Order: sequence, then structure tokens, then C-alpha cells
Amino acid sequence: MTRSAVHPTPASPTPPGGHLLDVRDLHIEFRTGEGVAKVINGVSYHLDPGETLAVLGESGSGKSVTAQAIMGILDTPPAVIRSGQILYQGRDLLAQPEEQRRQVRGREIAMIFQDALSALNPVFGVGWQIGETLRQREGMSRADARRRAIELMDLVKIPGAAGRIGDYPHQFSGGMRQRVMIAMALAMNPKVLIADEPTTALDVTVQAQIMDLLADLRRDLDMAMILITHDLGVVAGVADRIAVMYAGRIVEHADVRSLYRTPAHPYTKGLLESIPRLDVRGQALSTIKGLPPNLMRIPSGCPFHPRCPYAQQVCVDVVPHDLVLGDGRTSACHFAQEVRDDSAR
Amino acid sequence: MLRFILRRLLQMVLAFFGTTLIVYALMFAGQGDPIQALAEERPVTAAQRAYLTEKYHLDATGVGGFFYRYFDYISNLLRGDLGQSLTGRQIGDILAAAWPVTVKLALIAMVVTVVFGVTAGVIAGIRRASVFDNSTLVLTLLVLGIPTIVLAPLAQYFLGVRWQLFPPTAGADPDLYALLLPGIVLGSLSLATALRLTRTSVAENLRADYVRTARSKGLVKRRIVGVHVLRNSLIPVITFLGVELGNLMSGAIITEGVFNIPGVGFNLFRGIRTEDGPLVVGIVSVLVVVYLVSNLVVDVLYAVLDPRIRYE
Repeated sequence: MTRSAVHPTPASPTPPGGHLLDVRDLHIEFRTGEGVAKVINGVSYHLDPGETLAVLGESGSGKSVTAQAIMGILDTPPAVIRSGQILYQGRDLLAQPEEQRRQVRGREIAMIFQDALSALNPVFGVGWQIGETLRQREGMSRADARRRAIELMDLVKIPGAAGRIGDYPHQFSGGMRQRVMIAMALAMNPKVLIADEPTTALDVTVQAQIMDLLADLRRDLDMAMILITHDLGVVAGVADRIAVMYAGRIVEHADVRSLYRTPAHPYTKGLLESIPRLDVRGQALSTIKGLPPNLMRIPSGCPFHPRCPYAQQVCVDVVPHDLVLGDGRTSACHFAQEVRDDSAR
Repeated sequence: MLRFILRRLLQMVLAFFGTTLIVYALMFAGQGDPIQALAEERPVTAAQRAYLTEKYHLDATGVGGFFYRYFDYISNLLRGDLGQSLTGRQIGDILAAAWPVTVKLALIAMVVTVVFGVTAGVIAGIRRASVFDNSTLVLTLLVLGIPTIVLAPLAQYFLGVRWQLFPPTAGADPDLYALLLPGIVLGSLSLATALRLTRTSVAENLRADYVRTARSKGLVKRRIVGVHVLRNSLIPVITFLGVELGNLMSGAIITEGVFNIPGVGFNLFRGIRTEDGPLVVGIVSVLVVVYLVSNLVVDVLYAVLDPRIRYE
């Protein structure tokens, strides 16, 4: 993961006046028997061709739900999309009928999931599952789909791909299984790849291999990538920009370098300080006190205030707006400037 | 897999000897004087008694004598000779006449189970908490709650006698139509279980992660449910149906009794009632084999359906 964060500007054009993918003020809630959980509360982020956006946050912060809303694979009910837009190449996906959205899945935007063992169907061979997309969506013949499946498995560097095409998911190691999943997502050359915690279920060494593979593939196939993770270490080498999520909102948004150097939101700052460092000896690991909020009863004002060392009365009363800090950076904190200045010190 | 089958076949041999031994012992242990039982109320002359004692090796007494007779019986059995019932008929002939009837009845019950139970289960699983789901839940609980001994006469009275939609009894050499109502009654219990099992399995699989993956591949819903979900959901269902078919093949004592169907269960019950030891042991021995074989088939089928299952 020593790859440079700067990638060559790709050739594919940004649609006039907009981003490749643009999520605008998305609100999603889950209606369950116990009440209404406000899972996404005004998320906005965008993705340009060829770039990698990392969406960072604890479990329950809404990063996966946003991704599933983009894919259109949220279970509704219990999920309800209250408001917002998801523009892909300028067209609002949320306004499209299901059949049109289905056409986008896999072909335009593809997704890979966290646990490949459960995300792959246990009773079908991996070649069959990779080829299924091609047979069903592109009308490919069985033999062609099989040939292409082998190519894709070669592409994701599965050794002896041709010999393993008939194997079942459980016969692969965790890392190889995740590669199968990636091959499946790449089958129709999508323009956007959403990777939802692609390395969480893997060993550390395998994690690095998969991240490298994803970065290589993103560059070689000229895709844009949304990398969802809770692991700051995973992000650094691969992402161009980072959006940090907390309680269903983007609390900080910045390019990787600035965010790591001078976090401008207390939550980001807390996250960075909780990474164990090899160069500082004998220091207690700092943590963010408290627990993530219950989404059925999100705290008033800034949802992070009960856990925030900077919290004042204003944080309890007023929901902070995104404060623009220049260079495309934003921070949803009343004291963003102070936090950044503290970080710079 | 081959080694698994071989090992299972060896286990079957043991199970066969074990079960026949127990049934043989139970059936003959209770008898005071087998020769008198054979002759029923008629007097037995000393010459007849000596002849029968000689023929059935009844002079050997105690545990040794018991095993002597048991192995005598088994060796005949292995040669395909099931022996004679106390009524003098060849047990092989009785079974040859009874089995086709039971098999027909079992197949009708099976078709009813698959066509209605599995189909309704799939629909209920897809439309969980719908009116359809809830009404099938109530109906299946009702069916599962009523014992066959109540359900069969009720069906016979209302559908057969009162409304005369079906023949109320079957009698000798019944045709398919006569077996329809008993088949439905017999199948209703497996139907209810199959429905509940299918429903749970489908509902569970619909929530599985691989369904989310299939959706993100942009597959149409019909394919996701019809191929991905069904293929997984039906693994436990088919296993259940296999075991159930084995059960049905062994005859249904109550249903065959109520509807007067001359099947295996009917003959078995008659054998038990008249203390016809050779007949009971003969039928049970064959049933054991049917049951063991059907279980083996189910186990092999299970491994074929679910690639994660490995036998060595």
C-alpha cells in the first residue's frame, strides 16, 4: 500500500456541468417495529471519473446504506428514502423506474461486498456465477461466458483460473474468494466500482494484496471507485479524497493529504489519534469516549457533541452546517477552524 | 463419496440384522405356545406337534434355540423366502399384492405434498406476513394438530359419504380414483410440514447476502428468486421429502385401515392384531430395507444438492 495517492487524470469526460456520480442531500430512514431510525441525514458526496473516494466511518454511520441506495438494492421496506437525489451522469437514479435502474446495476455501477463467502451463492460454481451476469445481461452464450469468466479470473490474478472455474466458493481461500467477487463485479466493465469494506473479513497481508489489486484495476480499467471502510490505514494509499461519516452525515470531506495532516472535525481528529503509532513509544492509545449514537434518538444539535472534547452550548442547540475551509474541504463543526489549527500545531 | 456409500451399505447390514432381531424377539417372546397359536382353537395331535416342532426347530430351547431359529429365518429371508403366514399364504405373495397399492398411495400423497405444499410454501415465503402467508399458517397448524385417526374418518364421512365426491372405501384392487381421497389425507400431514419448511427456508434465503449480490448484478427478480433462492431453499425440503417418501412407502396403518385399502400397513396391522408372527416379522424386515435404502438415497442426494457437504 505504498502507492501514490495521485493518479493520472483519466481520459473519460465528466458530463457537462456535473460529476459522474453525485449524491445530493440524501435522507433515508428505517421503519421498524421499535420505531424510526434516521440512518442517513443529508448525505452529499460526488465522484468524478477515475478518482477514488473513500467513505470512512464506524459501523452504523450509514456508509453502506448510502452505497446500497446508489445501487438501488436497499430493502424497502424497512428502508424509506425520504428525500435527496442520486445523479449518475446527470440523471437522477431515484426518479427512474426499477427496470431502468436494473440496467445501471453491474453495467454502469458495480459493487463488491464485505464477506465474499456469504455474498457468493454457495451452491453454484464461481465460473457460473461470474458468467451469469454476461449470459443474462449481455446475452452471451454459455461457452463465451465461460471463456470470459476465465479471462476475468486471470485479470484478478487467481492462479490457475481455467482449472478453478468449476470450483465452489467454499473451496477458495478468503482472499481468492474476494478476487472472485471482484471479477464478478468487473464482468460488464462498470464505470463506477463501489467496494463495501472489501478487506474487513481478510488477514492483514491479504488485505494489502486486495487493496493493491483494486487500485491497479481501477487505474487499468479507468474506473471511479468508492471505497467504504472503517479502517483509516486502508484508505491512505489508495484514496484521492475522503468523506468521513458520523450518524448518517458527512462530517468532514477533504483530500487525503489534508485530512491526515490537519483534520478539521473533532471526530476525524479522534479517529486519527486512535491509530497506534510505531514512532511514539510508551504512550497510552487515545480513544474516542462514549458510543455511537442510537439512530432512533440522535442527539440534538451536532450529533457528535456528547463525545466531543470541543463541545459548547452551541453544539447542543444548533446543527452545524458544512463549513467550507478552502481546497474543497468542508467540516460540519462549529469549531472547524479551531480544530484544524489545533491539528496543525 | 463411493467410500461413504460403501460404509453406509455396511452399516445397513448391521442395522438390518439389529432391527430384524429385535422385531423377531418381540414378536415371538410374547407367544406362549407357537404351535397352539398356529392352530388357533383347534386341537393339535401329538404327531402334528412333533412334526411342527421338528419343522420350526422348536425343540431347541433357551437363548441358543432362539438364535438358531432367528438365523434359520434370516437365511431363508436372504434366499428370498419370506416364509408362510399363519394363514398359510406365502408372505412374499401377500407383499407382492399389497406393495403396489401402498406405492400408488404414497405417490399420490407425494404429488399432493409437492404440488400444494412446496408451491404454497414458496409463495408464503416470498410474501411473508401477507394474507396468504397467515392463512396457510393457520391451516397448516390445524392439519398438524389433528391426528390422522381423526382426520381420516372425518374426510371419509364428509367427502365420501355425505357429499359423495370420492368413493368412501377402496376395497380389493383399488383404482387411482379410489385412492385419491386417502392419498390426500395421507399427504396432508407431509404437506403441512413441507409447506412450513419451504416457507421458512425461502424467507431465510431471501435475506441472504448472495441475494443482495445477485441484485447488484442487475438480474431480474424472477431469476433471483427462481434460480438463486430456490436452489438453496429446496435443499432441506428435498431432504425432508426423501425421508417422507421412505415413510410413506412403508405403508400407512391408520389411513389404509380407515379406507379399507389392502396395502402394506393394512396387512401389517392385521398381522399384529392376529399375532401372526411370521407375517409381522416378514413385513417389517422388508420395511427396514426400504427405509434404510431411502435414507441412503437421501444422504447421497443431499451431497449432490449442496456442494458444501462432503462425505468421506
